[in-house]
Amino acid sequence: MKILRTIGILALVAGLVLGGTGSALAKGPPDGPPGGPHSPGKRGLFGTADSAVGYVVTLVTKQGLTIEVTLTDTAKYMVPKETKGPVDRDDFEMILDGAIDGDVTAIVGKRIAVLVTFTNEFTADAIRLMLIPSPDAPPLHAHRVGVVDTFTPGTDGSITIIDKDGISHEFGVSEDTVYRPSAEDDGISELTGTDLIEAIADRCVTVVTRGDPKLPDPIAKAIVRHEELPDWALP
Amino acid sequence: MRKGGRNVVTLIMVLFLVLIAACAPPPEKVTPPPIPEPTPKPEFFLTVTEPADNSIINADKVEVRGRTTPGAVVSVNGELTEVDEEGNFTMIVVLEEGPNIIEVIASDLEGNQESCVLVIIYVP
Repeated sequence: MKILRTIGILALVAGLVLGGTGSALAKGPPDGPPGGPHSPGKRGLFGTADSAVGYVVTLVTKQGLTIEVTLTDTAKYMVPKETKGPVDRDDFEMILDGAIDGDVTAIVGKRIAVLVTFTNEFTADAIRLMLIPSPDAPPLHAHRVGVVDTFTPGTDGSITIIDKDGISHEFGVSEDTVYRPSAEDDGISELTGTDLIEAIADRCVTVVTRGDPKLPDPIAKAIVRHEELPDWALP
Repeated sequence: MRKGGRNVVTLIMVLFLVLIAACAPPPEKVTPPPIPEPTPKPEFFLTVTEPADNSIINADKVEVRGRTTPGAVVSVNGELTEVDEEGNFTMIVVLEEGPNIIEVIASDLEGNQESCVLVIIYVP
């Protein structure tokens, strides 16, 4: 009887342990610390910079936890709408307030996504930090629709389109520019030179650009040729 | 007498015709065929269903899924992706360690454009 009870207790404990492990694995690492001491290793945090002293930024996470994150000089920093790729801490400081002076208070109030390693319960070192772009920031990419006015393919080429409001837009074209049909593949991506010019001329296209299309000479990353002219482009 | 008989016959015929006209079913009202109302064009839209904004990902790739108006041109981080007849699209995006930005843009020939920006963190 005693043996049966022992086996029962052991089975219950084993079930609880295995069940807990399974659900923990299914969820993956939580966003931010669970509240207790942090396991070593990398963690991801989303939050808002509440204050900053020197290179230490107090981050209030989505869960309401307060973590002191040190902006180390080995970390990489990203400001998506301002830099193409990651920059070092000095460049990040320059972007924040125009000076490298060990002061990053300009970060206060900004939303941040950061990969960290915890050094203590509520302190961590940044590995990669990104300033989350505000909703009204210019886009990283954009689409522009219009009828082709002029087109020169290849390196240092260009394309000019006229949009539905009759406004002309010019984009740079490079060897990396991709050409696609809007519907079934008709081999346009393989065309070059005169054949490509004939395929594109006077057609309605969508130009996918890298960067803000309002800035001068954005580069066309892709050009999508549409089968028909839209109503607004018909003579 | 012959004239009176003719009048009677005429009267009977008139009465008979009146009776037939009265008993006949009323003529069906000819209603003009309904003019089909023009179906309003669906409003241009873009929804990104996966991944969720501000999520932590443990894999170095993530599948971006969403739906837009059929016929739209969709790009994910500037790369074109296919849109099926129902407007669904999907694309695999390779992630860098740490925070990543995913920008989805959809546009149509009328110049409508919608975009969605997600920030996710890849924790190796």
